[in-house]
Order: sequence, then structure tokens, then C-alpha cells
Amino acid sequence: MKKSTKLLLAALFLGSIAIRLFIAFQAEGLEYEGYGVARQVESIRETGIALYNDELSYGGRDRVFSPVYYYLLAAFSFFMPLEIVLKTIPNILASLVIPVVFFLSMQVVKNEKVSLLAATFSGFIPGFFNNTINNASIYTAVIPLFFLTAHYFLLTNKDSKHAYKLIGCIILLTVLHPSSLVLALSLLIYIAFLKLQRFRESSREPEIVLFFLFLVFWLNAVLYKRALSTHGMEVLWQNIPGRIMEESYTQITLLGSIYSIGLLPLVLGLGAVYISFFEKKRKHVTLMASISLTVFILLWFRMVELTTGLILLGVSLAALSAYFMNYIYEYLKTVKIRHAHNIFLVAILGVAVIGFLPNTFLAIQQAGSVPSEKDMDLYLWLRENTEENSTVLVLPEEGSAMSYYSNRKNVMDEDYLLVPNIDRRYSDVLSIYNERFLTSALQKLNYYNVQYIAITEYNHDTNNVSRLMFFDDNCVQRVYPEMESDEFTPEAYEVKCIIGETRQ
Amino acid sequence: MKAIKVFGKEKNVIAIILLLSLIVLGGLQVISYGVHEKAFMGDETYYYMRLSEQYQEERVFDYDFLQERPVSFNLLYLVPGTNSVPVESTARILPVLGGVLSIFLFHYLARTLKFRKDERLIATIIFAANPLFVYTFTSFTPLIIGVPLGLAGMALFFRKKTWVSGIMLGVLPLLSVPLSLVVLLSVILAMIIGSARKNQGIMVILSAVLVGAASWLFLGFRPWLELIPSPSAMAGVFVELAGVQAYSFIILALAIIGLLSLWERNTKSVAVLLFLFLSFVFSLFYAESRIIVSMALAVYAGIAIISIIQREWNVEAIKNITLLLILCSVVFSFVVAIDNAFSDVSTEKIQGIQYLSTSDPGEVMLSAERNGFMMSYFSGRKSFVDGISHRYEEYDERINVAETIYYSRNLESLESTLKDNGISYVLVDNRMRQGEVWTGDNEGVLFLFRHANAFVKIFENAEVVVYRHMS
Repeated sequence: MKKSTKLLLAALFLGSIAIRLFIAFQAEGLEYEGYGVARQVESIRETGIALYNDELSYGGRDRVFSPVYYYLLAAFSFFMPLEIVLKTIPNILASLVIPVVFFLSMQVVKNEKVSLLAATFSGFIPGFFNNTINNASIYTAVIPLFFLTAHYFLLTNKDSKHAYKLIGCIILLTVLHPSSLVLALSLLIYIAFLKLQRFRESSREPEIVLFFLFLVFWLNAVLYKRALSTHGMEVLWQNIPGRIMEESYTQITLLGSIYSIGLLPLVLGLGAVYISFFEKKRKHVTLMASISLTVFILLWFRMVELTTGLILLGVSLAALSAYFMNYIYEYLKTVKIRHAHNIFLVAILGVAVIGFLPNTFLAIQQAGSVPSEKDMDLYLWLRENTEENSTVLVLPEEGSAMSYYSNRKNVMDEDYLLVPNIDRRYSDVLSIYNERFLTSALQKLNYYNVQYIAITEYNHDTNNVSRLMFFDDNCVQRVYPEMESDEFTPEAYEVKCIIGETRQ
Repeated sequence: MKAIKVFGKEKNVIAIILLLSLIVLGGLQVISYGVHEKAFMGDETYYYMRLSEQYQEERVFDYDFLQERPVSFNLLYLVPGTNSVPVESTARILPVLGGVLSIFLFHYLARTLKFRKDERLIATIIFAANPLFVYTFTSFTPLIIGVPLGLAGMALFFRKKTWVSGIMLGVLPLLSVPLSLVVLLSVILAMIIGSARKNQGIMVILSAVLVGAASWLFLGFRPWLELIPSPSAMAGVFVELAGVQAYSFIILALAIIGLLSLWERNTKSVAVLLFLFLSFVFSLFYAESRIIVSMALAVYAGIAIISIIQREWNVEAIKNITLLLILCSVVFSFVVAIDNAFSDVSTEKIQGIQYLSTSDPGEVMLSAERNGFMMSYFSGRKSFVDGISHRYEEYDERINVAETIYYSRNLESLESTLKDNGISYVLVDNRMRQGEVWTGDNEGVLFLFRHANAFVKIFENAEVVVYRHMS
């Protein structure tokens, strides 16, 4: 690799970290999702054990998850403040996708300029960039590792000296997140494509795929045994409430998904698939195409979360785009226009930068969707003024943030695994805020053992809820704030009645 | 492909496998006896025990007096019914013997079919470590006789012992109709691929038809009852997904790899593939036939393991880890199967159900379908729904009534529904409360149970609560 390429790659990597950190530190605190991670890391820091038995989530329940990512973050939290760890480490991990995709593309095209461009795309895929800046998402570690595994898979096919690195990546990916199942499935489809396209089969490929399949099966079966036996096949949908799943798929339009993947990676990636299948067969391209196809099929059958699917699709298409760019680049070298090939690359870069700028502003806006100052005040008031064991009703998105700041039980948060009758609980939580009659509201509130109801600014902004219609001074009494004001301020109500008796 | 030399003398290996299976199956019976002397694995055990006891006392095998419904004749009732050994002892010993005998006969059949030594040994090990084997030979069901009988019949069939095999396979429908259908399908397959003479196959089919017809005329054999699929059969197909009489993902995956490796070696047979596919699809609806399909899967899984061992791997370490992972996965599904089999074995539950025997004869009890057999066995009272209610006409209506009761919040209509159906007791266990029916103590009828005077909690422990309707 040329020195200039090394420098450019380093600059890209550092630049990505700098932009991500700049955006992340614009907002105080984390996005709502991030507080689930924060609670796990804090628990590890204090007790050494992740929250397998979470007394605050859903009023107290067991969880199943892989703790590897939380332990990694917890390790840093011993010598850095927690908030800094949750803002910096995930962004550094996410930026690693740039060198990973660079080396992956280099295997496909052996062209440093083109590979650098593909790496640039991968680092700034809107779906990935916007959704992983300020929420300490586990995907910041999963996505680079996913493609690093693919990279070592290709390398090991050439030379078995990389086998141990590949085994390491496979094991780490498998224990980190169930996304390893997507890669295992992609490799199966890849083997099928090799047979169909009559490639000379390397003897190592089926061996590694077999190993990967058995490892993924066994580890996931052991790690998620309880979830598998509780939810059966539905574990594939992670017990996400049907309404959320439905809304996430119905709300996104074709344009929305193209935007999420990025127009350039999509067009160039699809071009690469076309060329590799119908004109110039390349084994390496087939692997990336298999990943894209697998994710597409999973998205089509709604067997993967929309955001996750679009991120995987976007990054795999970005890696694929190197092949198509190189194809055009090589072709332009043969035409009579001087430097046409270089002009092409500059033009692509220009388009990418123009596309990236508005996305950055959107990312800044999104990273700012953290609990507001007023909501934080409410959470802290709950911490100081309510009984330690009490349950507070907030929206599912706010559940972890409320429990983090208030140290009080929530009725629902965004980790749905192992929760029975999740659809019913979800609709109950949403409907309580719109209840008109005290009796039917009390039935639900008693059922979930709710002592306090919080109406936050977030709830007000998203659902237009400003006041409980069923509140009265006997049973559901407003306890926060003490003074009424004309403009909306977050409120807390205490539930004082149980149907048939009065709470002491 | 050369045979692998990982095994010693075949007789010794088989002896060890038989001994291990005897220890495991016997050990499981001892453990369940240790939990409670009347605790058994598999809810069907209680059903067949009750009907066997009924036969011992009344000599009637085609009508269930307690549940007031016709049942199909089954040879199993005759086994404890025709001797003085208590049914409970038979229900503990017979499954263990059936399991050990089945392993021996499975290996004998593989030998008869001229599988290589290494193939038949690995296939036998996989068959014995198969979750379906665990379920089948820990429960007292007709399969504990049907499986060894079918295996012996098939072995003799391939050894051209036409008459004996004809009789053995002919009586198989009297133990399990779905099982015998898959066995007969494999007889047809043997005729198609030329492993058996046509007249032999026709003889077996004819004998099954004749025995079936005679039993229908004289013994009250009602095969159609067994051919009504259970609505929940598809829900528990894999043991890893909490299925009980279920396949293991890993053995299925290995079997597919085995099939693919045979395909690569050009030893494919469309007829065999079609048989496998048809019997697998059939088994999705009829859980009783899964044990036979699992034998075919064990054979192909064995072939897969041998091809993995014999393949020249580029990185020896990956090969060794892969084999270790396969071993771990097979052991994992075996352990999960045992865990699932024990899910309903609990002293508290039995104590709660036994309490129902204090009720008046003729009173009807309501609980989840899976508790029906246990309730009838221990209390001697009629269950509103049980594991074979789906075979009878009024099933849909009963399920609707049960759901109406479970989710009722109106005392007046609830009382009238209970009265119309003669239900006096409702047994609620933890699984029902924790998501199977309700998610909390105040949901649906539980609210009325707690607050209405018409209901009295007559028994409660850590596992079950029994409510009585004071009509």
C-alpha cells in the first residue's frame, strides 16, 4: 500500500471519529436507547455482573443477552467517566468500518483509490451514521466485526495462515450478537452461488462455513435458550410488539430506504451485482452480493429489524460499489479523454460529499433527541420524592432513561425479549394516557402495579399528551409540579386507589 | 469411501451404548419417582395408565367411562391389563425396556440393510441421543411397543421372513396408526427401489389391512380418531423451541449435510428423497410418526459426520473444533429434551391435582389442555378438555367455552357458562398465569376468582391454585 493511501485512510478514519464525536458532544446526555446500555455498564461497574435480573425493567424481570459489549464498555469506564465512554468508544468502534471496508474492497479490486472511495461510503452510510452516534448502539461493534469476518473469510480462502484470525472473528461476532446468524446464512447462500456459477471451489470454503454454522447454532442456542423456549420461532422477531414492527415497515417509503442506504452505494453496488453475475464473474464479489441478497430477503420477510437490515445492506453495497467503480475506472482509462478515470472518481467523491452534508445536519438533529432538561428534572424529582420500590409509567422508549435517572421501576422499556403478552402490554401503556374513565384506567394501572404516572415533554411532543383526562384528587393526584403554568411542563401523578380499596 | 477406524469391536460398542441408554432411561424414571412416587414424564402417560387400569378393572377397551367418549382399541392396554403387575410399575419399566430394545433393533436393521460398521454405529449413537428417543422411551405410550415391533418387523422383512414380518407389521396399526403409516410407506419405498420383493410388500400391506379390518369389526378399533391431527402438533416441532415430542435442529442439519454429501457422490435416489420429504411433512402433523423419521435422519446424520471426519481438511484445528461443536450441539439438544420432558414433573402440581379427588364424582374440572390427562388420572373426575379432545366433535365448542371462562369479567354470564357445562373446579398453574393464558393475577376471570364470593380458593401451593364455584 502506498504511503499516501495509508495517510488518507488514517485521515478518513480519524475524520470520521472527529465528526461523530463532534455531533455526539453537541447534545447533553444520550439518546433514549443509550440508557439501556448505560444501566448495564453501570451495573457491571458496581457489581461486576450485567443486569440479568433487572429489578427496574418491566417492574422486575429476567433478561437474556450477550454481555460482551457491555463488559468492553465497562472496562473503559474504570478510567473514564461513563458518559464519555458511551459517547467515544462506540464512535471509535463504528469508524473502524472504514479500514475494514477498505481492505475488503482491496481484495476485490486491487485499486487503492477506488477502495478508499468505497470505504468513505461505508463510514457515512446514512442509516449507519445517523443511528449510531449518540446511543452507544451495539451495532457500532457488530457492523465492523461482521465485515472483518467476511474479509478474513476471503483471505483464508487464499491462504490458511489467516484461519486463526478468522476463527477469532467468528467466535467474537457470535458471542457479541445474533447478527452472526445473518452472516452464516449469507455464507450458505454464497456456497450455493459458487455451485450455480460453477466456480472452482476452494476446499476451505465449505469447511469454514460448516464450522461457522455449527458454532453459530450452538452458541446462540446456549445463550438464548430461554428466549427460544419462551417465544419459539417468534424469537426471530425478538418479541418486538407487532404494532412497532408494523409501523417501522409501513412508515418507511421506497425513497426513505434508498436514503437510508445511500443513493451512491445502492446504484454502484447494484451495478457490481449485475456485472459480477452476468458479465465478469468474481468470487469475492459473489460473497458481498450474497450478504446483500440475504439481508434483502430477510428484510422482505420482515425477519430482521428494519434499521439493522438497512445498515447491513448499506455497508455491503458500499463494499460492492468498489467493483463497479473500478469497472468504470478501468474502462475510462481506455477512452480518449485525458484523465477521464480520475475525473470520474472526483465526480463520485463530489456527489458523495454533497449528499453527506445535509445528512450531517440531520444527524446533529437526531443526536439531539435526548431527554430534555425538564424531563431530567422530573426524573430526578421522582428519584428524590417517591418510594424506592415504586413503579412509574412512562412511554416504552423512555423506560430505560427514566429507570437510569430515577432508579424506579418502569412498566415497559425497549428490551422485549422474555416479556409475556407484549402486544397487550404495549397497547395498554399507550392507551392509559388517552383513557377518559377512571375505572378502566385504574384497572390497567393496578394490573401493572403503577404508583406514578409521568407525562414528559417527549410524550407531549410525540403523542400530544399534556394532561391525564381521568385524574381526580382522590384517586389520581397530581404531585409534580407543585405550581400550574400556562405552557406545558412535565407532570407526575400519584395513583392512590386500588379497585375495591384505597392505597395507604 | 473407506470406513473409519475409531471404534473397537462392534459388539462391545453396542453393549456400551445399550448399557448407557439403560442407565439414562432408568435414571430418568428413578429421578421422576424421586420427585413424587406418582410422577411420570409425558402427560400421555397418565392417559394410557388410566385406560389400562380401566381395562384391568372393567375389561373394556373401546370406551372411556370417565371422559364419556368412545376410544380406539390399543394393544398397549392389554399389556398391563392381562397380568397382575401394577400399571404404575409397568409404566416405569416398559419404556426403559422398549428403548434399550429399540436401540438394539435399530442397529440390527442397519446391519441387515448392509450399512458400513462405522455408519451404523454413529447412526445408532445419534438415534440414542435423539430428543425423540428421550421422549418416546420415558413416556408410557403405545410407541414403546410400536417402535421395537416396527423395527423388528422391518429387519425381518428385509431378511425375507415374509410371514413373521407380515404379522408384526400388520398389528402395528393397533398400536399407532400414524407410526404404521410411515412404516408402510417405507415398505412401499423398499418395493420401489428393489430392496424387497413386491409380493413381500403386498403381503405386509394386506396383513395390516386385514388386522385393521378385523379389529374394527370385533375390537372397536377406530383408526380415524388417531388421524385427526392435533392443532398444536406444528407448534412443537423442534426441541430447541420448547417442543417435547420434537426433532433436534442439529440432527436435522446434519441429515441435510449427509444427504448433500451423498448427492455429491452421485448416490442420490429420488424415491428415497421423496419418501423422506413426505414422511417429514406427515410427521409435522402427526407427532407419533416422528420417531420413525428421526431414525432416517440419524442415518443421514451419521453419514454426514463420517464425511466430515474423512474429509481432508486444510486446517486440522477447524475440523477438530467443528466435530467438538457437533458433539456439544447433540449433547445440548439431548439435555434440553430431558429438561423439557421434566417440565411438568412436580410434587406441588400432583398435590394440587390430587386435592381435586375430594370433589363429588361427576363434577367437571377445567384447566389447560396439557393438564387434562393428569387431572383425570389423579382425581378420577372428568376434565373439560385434555390432550385428545381435538379428536371429538365438540372440541371447538369446548375451546370457545374455556376461553370465554378464562377471559370473563362478568360474574353473571360466567356463572351461567360454568353451570351449563357442569364445571365446578378450575385449576390454575404457574404456566397458565405466566403468559399461557394470563399475564397477571388480576386478568380476566382471575379478578373474579379473587373478589367474587361465588368462588372459593380451596387449595394453593407454589405451583397450582384450585378454585371452586359455589353454585
